[in-house]
Amino acid sequence: MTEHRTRRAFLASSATAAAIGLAGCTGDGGSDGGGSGDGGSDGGGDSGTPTSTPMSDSMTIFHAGSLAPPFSAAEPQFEEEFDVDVNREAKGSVASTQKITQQGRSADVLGTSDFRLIRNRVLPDYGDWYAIFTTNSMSIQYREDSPGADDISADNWWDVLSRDGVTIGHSDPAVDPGGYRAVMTLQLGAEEFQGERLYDEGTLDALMSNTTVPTGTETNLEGQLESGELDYVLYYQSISATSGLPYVDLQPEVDLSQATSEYAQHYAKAEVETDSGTFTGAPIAYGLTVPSVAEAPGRGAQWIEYFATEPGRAILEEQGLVPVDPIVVPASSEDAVPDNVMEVASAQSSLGPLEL
Amino acid sequence: MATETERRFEIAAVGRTPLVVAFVVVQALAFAAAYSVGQPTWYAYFIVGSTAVTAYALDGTSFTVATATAGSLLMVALGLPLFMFVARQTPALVIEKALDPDVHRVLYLGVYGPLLAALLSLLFGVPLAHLLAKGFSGQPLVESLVDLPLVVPHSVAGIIILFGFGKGGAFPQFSVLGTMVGLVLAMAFVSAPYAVNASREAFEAIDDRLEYASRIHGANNWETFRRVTGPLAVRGMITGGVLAWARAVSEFGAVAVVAYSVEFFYPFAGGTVTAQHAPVFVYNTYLQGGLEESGAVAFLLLAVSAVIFLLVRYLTDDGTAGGMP
Repeated sequence: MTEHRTRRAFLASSATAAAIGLAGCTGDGGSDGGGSGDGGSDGGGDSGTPTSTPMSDSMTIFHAGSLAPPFSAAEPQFEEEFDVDVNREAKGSVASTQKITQQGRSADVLGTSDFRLIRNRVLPDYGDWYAIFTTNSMSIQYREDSPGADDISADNWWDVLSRDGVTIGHSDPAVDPGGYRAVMTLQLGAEEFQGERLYDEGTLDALMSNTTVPTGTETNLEGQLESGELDYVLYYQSISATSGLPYVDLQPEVDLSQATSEYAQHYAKAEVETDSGTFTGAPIAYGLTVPSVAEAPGRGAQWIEYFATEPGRAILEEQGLVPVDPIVVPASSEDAVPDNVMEVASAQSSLGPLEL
Repeated sequence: MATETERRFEIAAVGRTPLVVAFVVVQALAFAAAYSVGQPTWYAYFIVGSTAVTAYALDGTSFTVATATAGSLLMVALGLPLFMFVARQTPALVIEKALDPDVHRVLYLGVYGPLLAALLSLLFGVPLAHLLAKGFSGQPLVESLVDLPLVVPHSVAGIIILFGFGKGGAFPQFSVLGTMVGLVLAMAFVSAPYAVNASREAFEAIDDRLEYASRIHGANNWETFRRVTGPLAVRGMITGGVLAWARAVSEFGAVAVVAYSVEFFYPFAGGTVTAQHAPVFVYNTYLQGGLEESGAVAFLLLAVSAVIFLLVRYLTDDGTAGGMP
């Protein structure tokens, strides 16, 4: 009897708690949607001294999956140093951008694997500036028992990968920068650089016919490789360097890592057509911005400053990325850049042949 | 329960169908009015209020009014977002997508793949459900195993299928990545528990004495299943099959890992084509074209699913009992 009563009392109290919880949901439901759109003024306008204004004690970051390793490594240090609670949401670069532009959500930092996503889709409605803070390179990862794994090296990877029966995987070029960059890497091997090319059109065709697109974003590729369904995968070196499986460090003329004019002109020979448009080859340049819908723009600027300075750079290097030193902001929007970021950045109107 | 319901319906039988139609029309008008003046909140109150009033008018007991009102609150939570989703669609965009051959393939695969998964789940799930209903030693272990896929996160389910049935797994001769086999396996993994559990409950609801009677009259186990228990449990099996099918239609995570794009035989093209399962396609449409375009495709998927639900209910409703499929 007593047992029944306590159990019933417990059920009643938890039901009450649940009801209160449900009621609580209605309170802040609206703030996500329309309201956040008119916060545009705090984006870059108040470039005063961020230290004098009280800072929010939490911040939100939307970022590309390939930025998850460095960002999660930096999170505890950053939280301790600046006394702030960091909430991160990792998703594809395109999906992360669309959380802001399509879903009306707010973040204090947006990080994408291609700065052009910010330049083309976030500016000018949802942001005023951006910073290019790191580069990455493409690489080939494999299993020790992948067919041809014993023979493969940086000097013959195209021979091994173009053999009959080999399966190469990369993410979907239509929805993921990592996908179109993988195709560009394969294309660039058949383009002459300084009078030489790695392989001919026939090899390129063989490579392309061995290629499959088994996933939208690159996050599933490693599992698919390990399961034996894929023999080789093409993705960022920051992933392959930290995964524990063997990988091939590719030639700079195909790995899209060099942000110089000479290389950038070479990369531009690659062109990938997809359902969502045609993408032209360019150095891999990651972008960061504080969206104009940010609720804690000062915190966002602190995060970007962190990755423009020594502690953040060291983390990027540890995770297989190549930090841009100093970080680059477009000269045209220099005025909108917060002071603390501008102090550690260089304003340029182009990066190699890339217009900013 | 059933007899009570039937008696009440007999009393009210005269005006029942017109009443339902009138209620639906009033609801639709109220929603249209509230939505067009930009106040969908009003409609939320209207559902609850109108349901309470209708319940009071039809059956004045406080119990019925209370259950109807409580139930209508859930309908607000389930129905209102769906109605608003439908109302937000741009007709021109929906028509454009409805005429797009790529979308046809996606819808075909989005109905056909889950159908195979549901049939597979039933084919092997019904015998298992029968055994579970009878009981055997070690049953709790098998029961837990059947229910376990329900708690596995979906992308993990995909990885599990890849490692279990991929080239490095148990049947290296099959390829599951990007194939119909992989798609169906991934769907069956997440949806089979529904088929098994619903069938099992149907078998358990059958009075044991019917089976004994059948055996006493000389029928063996096979005949008893075919003539007695099977037909009596068929509603449960259909419910299970529909639930499994619906679960498979909505599956994103496991499918995106195992069968992101699938090569399959498409009768309208007379050959094999490559397409994506509907939820994957909807998400990719969102990434490429934004909310509006993906909403239009999702709307079409919803409409096709609703038609299939109604069709299954119509075909399996033999007019006597008013219960589920």
